[in-house]
Amino acid sequence: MDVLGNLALGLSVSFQPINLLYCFIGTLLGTVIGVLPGIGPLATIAMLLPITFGLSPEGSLIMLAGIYYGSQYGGSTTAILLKLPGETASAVTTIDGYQMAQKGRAGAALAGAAIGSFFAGTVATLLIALVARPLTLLAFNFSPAEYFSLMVVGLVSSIALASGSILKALGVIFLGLMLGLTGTDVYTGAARFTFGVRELLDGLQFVAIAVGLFGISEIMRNLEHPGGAPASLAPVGRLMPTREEFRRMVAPMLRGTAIGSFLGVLPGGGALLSSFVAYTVEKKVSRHASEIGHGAIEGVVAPESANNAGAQTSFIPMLALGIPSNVVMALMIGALMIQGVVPGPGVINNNPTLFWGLVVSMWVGNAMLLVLNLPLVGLWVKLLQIPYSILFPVIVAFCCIGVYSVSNSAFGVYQIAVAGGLGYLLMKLDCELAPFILGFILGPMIEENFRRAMLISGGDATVFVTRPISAGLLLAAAVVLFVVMLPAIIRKRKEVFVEES
Amino acid sequence: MEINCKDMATGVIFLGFAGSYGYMSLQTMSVGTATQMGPGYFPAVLSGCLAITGLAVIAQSLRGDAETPWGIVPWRAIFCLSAATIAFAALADDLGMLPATFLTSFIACLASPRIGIGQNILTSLCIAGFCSAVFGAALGVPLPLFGELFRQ
Repeated sequence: MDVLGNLALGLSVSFQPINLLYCFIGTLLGTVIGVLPGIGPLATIAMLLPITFGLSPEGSLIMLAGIYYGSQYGGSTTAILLKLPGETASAVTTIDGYQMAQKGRAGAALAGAAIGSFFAGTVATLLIALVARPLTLLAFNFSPAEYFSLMVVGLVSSIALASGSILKALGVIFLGLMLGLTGTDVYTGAARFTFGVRELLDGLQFVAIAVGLFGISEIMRNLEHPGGAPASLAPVGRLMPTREEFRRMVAPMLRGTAIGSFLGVLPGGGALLSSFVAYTVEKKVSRHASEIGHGAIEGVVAPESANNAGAQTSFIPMLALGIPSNVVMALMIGALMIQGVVPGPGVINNNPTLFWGLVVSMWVGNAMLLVLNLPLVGLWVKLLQIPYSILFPVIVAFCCIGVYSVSNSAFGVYQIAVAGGLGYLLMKLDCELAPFILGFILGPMIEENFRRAMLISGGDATVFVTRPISAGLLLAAAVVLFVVMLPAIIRKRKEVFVEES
Repeated sequence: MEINCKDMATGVIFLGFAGSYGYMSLQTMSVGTATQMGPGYFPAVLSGCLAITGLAVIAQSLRGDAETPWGIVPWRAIFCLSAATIAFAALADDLGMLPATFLTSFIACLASPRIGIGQNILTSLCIAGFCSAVFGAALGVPLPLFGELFRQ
């Protein structure tokens, strides 16, 4: 089948009224919750995940994708208006976005971000349509050894993005991998780490863990300083960018999209890395480089385009290979598995409507964001003023009911409490939580592929380095790890030299 | 010698998990061989990796790099939020969605000293009503509005 035929199939799926509705509800809810201060896309998706379980697989993924974009866009809105990035990916947007807001051009910044995101989303959708099929064909040549190595790359990359200690991030990954193994061993049926609790035979509940780690522990942190004056809001001003601003948006939009599309595909890449790189590049090459950092529209459009393009192309490894390249994709895979769809190269053949419907609905979702977010910006501003003392009990209630509804049992809700406490402890100890959840979801997959690879090779561990693709992937992982360590090494050496002299 | 307490604690936690999970993998599960791995093989390997990482983190802590301050530990929030979720878990089936959500929200509100009792009850009532309407009526979460306890 050709690309056009596939896109047509996707269009027919995503333009079904019911799926359009899910997409609309998803983007709307995502924005509503993403705009609330202190709730990023992860917490938003984790919180809203349960409401998608009753839907068809297509509907639920379409809605989740909508929630993802919506929450990301909501994060940009708070970044521009409040200088509060709702999520790490929009951290760079705060720099120029807030400066623009101070100059009374908040409206233009919001519009620029939306238009840039829409353009980037369109390009990225086409890219997915073009690349996904060849990639799945490649994936059919993958043996368990390659899958194992690919997951190692993903895990190592998540260390690269962790701020703080590399060693701690590594430890947190091992911890996540190990806890992910809880439950019945698929090969032998033996119970592992269940402590005699019958309910744990099915493993720890992914949604409960995610909600506890990113929802509850975040509230605990926010309540370290109860109160705090309500943030001061910049007036939005005129939404439409001026002709001059439009002209200045084009080049950064193109550059941002290119950077984001490329970086998004890399395991561990995605939105965060994309927006940072795009901003840095813009600072180097833009004709208005001197203005960036002081409220230039380039500094808003480039990272926003990049982060949206990256968010979207990060679906490629998830859809084609079944491997999450970042934590949001890990949540998506969790959702797919709950829907009874096994993520991986088989999806495109076995569930073409799901696959292409999702791809096209990404574009539809982006279009909805454009028509939804800009006119409703006044409403988002109102939402920003909801006091946290009303917000957090709502979040707690949502989390509890949501997790209850996953399996219709109260057992998962206990896990929220444990995960919340553990998450807060790790946060206090300066450990990142994102590598943990990535390890948690990859744990069973990586073990299965490891065992199968070793079974096929007859217990010969060199299989991982003698197969060329696998060796290349492991080499890439090693290089990434080395590069991440580099600044630390340099700093250490500097310290040594200082002491000597 | 200055010790970085955060790193030390992290390392000890890593070691604790590695030790207990490693022990369980080796003692209570069959490990098998590299070709025919048993359920305990991979977790045992992971425990080993985690133990090494834990030791490395502890070693790092002894070098005494500058430590970021602990900041405030909101014991009240930690306790109340955990209690709120546990209360829901324990009571949802007996009480039903409306009372359980009210109780959960009420306990959660106690986490913040700035929420008075009046505001707490009002907020919790609204949340309970809203959640029951959205999750119970609209989304069809199969948790009855009022549980066994109210049906004599």
